[in-house]
Amino acid sequence: MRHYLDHNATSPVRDEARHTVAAVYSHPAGNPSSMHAEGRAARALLETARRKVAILAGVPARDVVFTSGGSEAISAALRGVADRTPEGRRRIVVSSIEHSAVLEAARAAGAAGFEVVEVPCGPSGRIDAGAFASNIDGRTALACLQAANNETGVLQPVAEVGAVCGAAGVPFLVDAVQAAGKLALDRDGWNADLLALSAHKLGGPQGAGALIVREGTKLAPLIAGGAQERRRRGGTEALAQLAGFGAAAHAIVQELEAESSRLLSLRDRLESGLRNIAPGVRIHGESVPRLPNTTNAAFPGVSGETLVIALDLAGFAVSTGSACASGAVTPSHVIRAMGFDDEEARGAVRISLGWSTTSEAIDELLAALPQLLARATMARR
Amino acid sequence: MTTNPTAVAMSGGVDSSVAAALLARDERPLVGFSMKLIDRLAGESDRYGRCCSPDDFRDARSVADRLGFPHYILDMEDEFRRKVLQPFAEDYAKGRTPSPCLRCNTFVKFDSLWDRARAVGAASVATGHYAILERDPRSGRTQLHAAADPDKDQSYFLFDLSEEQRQRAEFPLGRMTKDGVRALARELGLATADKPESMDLCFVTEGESYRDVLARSGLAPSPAAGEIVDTRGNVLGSHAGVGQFTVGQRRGLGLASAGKLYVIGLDAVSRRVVVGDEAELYSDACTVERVRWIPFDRPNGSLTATVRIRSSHPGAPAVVTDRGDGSAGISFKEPQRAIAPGQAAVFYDGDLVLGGGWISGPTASCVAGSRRIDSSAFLERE
Repeated sequence: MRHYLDHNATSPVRDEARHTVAAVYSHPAGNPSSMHAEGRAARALLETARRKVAILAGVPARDVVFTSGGSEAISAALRGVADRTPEGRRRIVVSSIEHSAVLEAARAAGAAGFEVVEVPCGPSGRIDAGAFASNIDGRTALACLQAANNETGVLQPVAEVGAVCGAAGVPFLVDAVQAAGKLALDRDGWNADLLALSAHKLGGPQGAGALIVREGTKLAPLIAGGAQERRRRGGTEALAQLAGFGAAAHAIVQELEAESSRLLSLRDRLESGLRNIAPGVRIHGESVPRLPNTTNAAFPGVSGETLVIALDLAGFAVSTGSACASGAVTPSHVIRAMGFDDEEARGAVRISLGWSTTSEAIDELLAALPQLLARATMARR
Repeated sequence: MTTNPTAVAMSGGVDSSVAAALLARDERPLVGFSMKLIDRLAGESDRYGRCCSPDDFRDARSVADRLGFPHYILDMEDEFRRKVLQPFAEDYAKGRTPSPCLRCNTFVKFDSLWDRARAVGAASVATGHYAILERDPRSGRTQLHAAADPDKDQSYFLFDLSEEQRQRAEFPLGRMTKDGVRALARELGLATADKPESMDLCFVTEGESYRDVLARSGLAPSPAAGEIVDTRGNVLGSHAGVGQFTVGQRRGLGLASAGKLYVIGLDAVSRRVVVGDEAELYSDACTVERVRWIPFDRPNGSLTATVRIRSSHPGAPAVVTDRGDGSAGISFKEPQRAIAPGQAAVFYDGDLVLGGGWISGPTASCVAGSRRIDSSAFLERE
């Protein structure tokens, strides 16, 4: 029996989403852009999904632009804003702990002549709002900050940064991929012009996502084509996946509060267990508010790679912060950006819980760990 | 996992794939590892060495999937750089002919990889090497023998494993022929059955040289100009650094009379490149250091053995005298061409590997030249 504890990588598809996807595929549905009955039926499914995602994001349905996922939403936002930036606004401000989808898109803009500022992060794992805001002024084209970090789960000061962006007239992109489904999204409270979401992180299908675009935001489409998505994104919509996204979003909205507190109590049980087993364990981000489902732990003298492999062999799916293109573990850029050295950055293991996680899984993990840790520690001597 | 698995080092080539398949056929619990040794050197472009490209990892993974055991890719760039690439560069800078494959076995596959494998519960490390390990019931030691297929034998590259390392190593291909391995790979439908053999430095990409790799890694020898001299000390020309030369090199000396001259010695201290004629390539003795004996701690007195002075050398009769200080003297029955400092001399009694040592830097008895030793002469071939 395996236990899946890597929901921040991808969350297993919820029953609601699975049923919806199957239903779409089992009825003849047309192209949402077609005029005929089949096309209209497809359009209706699409708009239902849009409304459900809009409710999750707390925005009007017309602001939801469907994409193939979080990375597309982020690239569409960064490139789209950069393409339409007014004269004199040539700076893109991001945090140093953003997801690589943001960092790489920003660096690509940097190669195209934009000034890219990566705001550093302290050991707490939370970006300092003042340090971030000091880069926001009349020359800034775009600011981008994640709502929650994918590796540590640490919540970032999006409302504070958003307020400064609003005052300076700077478009503000919030990467809410990890936050969605785990805490209430507050687009207006954060003053975000753009919000990136992904379906598969919250129990929807892989290959679906959304960019929430506030009315009036100047944005060139990433994908040229037809009039789909109010001309914000060309290409026939992936109807079944998006319908599944809507179904997952709807399910989450119903239970968000109860589920968050359930996850939080599981995580507390996990972390107190970890401290009992390994008093020297470091839990990254523990001093600041975090997502209720994420534990990023470093065990002294044990590499994250070793622990992830040992746990996998023992039946538990967890992850290290990051993997390179080949699939090998590389030092986490997030833990490094928090000021820790390479060894510490290689030591971190991420355990992320979700809708399918049971308390038995936590108990079994805690029961298996002491032997695995002892063996891994011994091998280093 | 109930029993401790065997770790299989998988390059993505046919040999390690079949080694894994043989163990899987015996229903042994397995866990596969591929080592990423060079990615950081790849830079922005798709530049990968022959042994650890994403394609090779994909091939290794597909073999593991097919055989039904987990497979992981390990980032071992730091270890590879420290334990193989840096010594490789230093050897060149010091005028020695490097032995990267030997070092990779001793210090990476059967040391660093073993450490990682045992940390997750592995009991042994298996590779696709062609060599035979056998426990000698009388001495309790693990003996190393040449492989059954003399064309594929890789025992030369494994002489420097310690008893402890040999005990936990497994070479499932030791009694197989290359044709047999390929046939078995096809029979099992392994994706790697018809992959070409890797014949050159695994970490060098096609179309570049090891010098390019070193330069990219920040390990290029610093220029240290010096003289080109003959064996009598006559100055024949100048050069930009001994690191640019290999003992035995014939071309690229920039000398008018270069046609018949070979590099026969490199002295990093005096920065001299010594050249000579063909007769001066021969020597009947040399010294080896860091000697390792395999079937016993030390021999009683001198022993006669067949000694191979590089991997492509068939072996020559010699008397080996352990000096008790970690070094040994080797006297060949006939003078040997091309005894290159930095290479290993490995001692055999028939198929049994008695031990070996590292040919030491240029000494009076051992200023050896060689014919041009191309890289295939000192590299392990898969």
